[in-house]
Amino acid sequence: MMFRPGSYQTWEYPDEGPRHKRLVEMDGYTCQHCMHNVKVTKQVDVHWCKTCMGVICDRCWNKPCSPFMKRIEELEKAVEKQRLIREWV
Amino acid sequence: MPYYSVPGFNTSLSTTFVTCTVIFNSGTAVRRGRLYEAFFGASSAPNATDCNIQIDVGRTNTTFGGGINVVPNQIDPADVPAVNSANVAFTSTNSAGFTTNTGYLSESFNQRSIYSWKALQESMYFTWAAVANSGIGARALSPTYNSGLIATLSWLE
Repeated sequence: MMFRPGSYQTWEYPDEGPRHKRLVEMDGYTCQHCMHNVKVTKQVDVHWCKTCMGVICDRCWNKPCSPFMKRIEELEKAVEKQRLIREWV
Repeated sequence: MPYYSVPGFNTSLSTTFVTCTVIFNSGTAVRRGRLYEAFFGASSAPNATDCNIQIDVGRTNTTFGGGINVVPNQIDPADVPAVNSANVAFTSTNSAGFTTNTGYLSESFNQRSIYSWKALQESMYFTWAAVANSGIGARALSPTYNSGLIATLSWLE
């Protein structure tokens, strides 16, 4: 479990079995760089980007800061720019 | 921001990914969407051979054919209709349109269980751009179970 988790997942079985409980719950978070869901277990280290202060996954750790929201905004701006060019040129 | 939901499904899973639900920007009006909840579960009797169902929620970047276009449900009936379109129940093995290596949520669950994911903070939502054909979709496969699957996605825009 995680203090103030970003996401929450459940696996619910119709009955309790030898290998599983009736309800399995797990906290997680969304990597702020690649938007992948990360399940928080004892084996997973939660990393923080020291540039954007976002919580990130193993794969994005030690890589340049590139928040997904910034990339989405850049994409939308680029598409809007193309639309304006088509309209006015 | 209004909230919407689509009770997506697919009637026949396969050993390769089949698309269940896709939410995407179509037409001239586009709006940024944010997925905050996903729910998956088998809708038919389980297979005699116990097996798992693997699901994948990822970004899509093209228009989708082969599915049924449905009107997204407003969580609050007083809200305006959704700008994003939704297609469900794809009949063909259709994984085209899913951007490679962008499976945001890849999980597996037993055919007798149900799986749900919920984002608790707005920064954790799976977001897609307000650009034509940009969207998010859910697909699934199973090695043995070949009947129906429910894939309900909820988002705000």
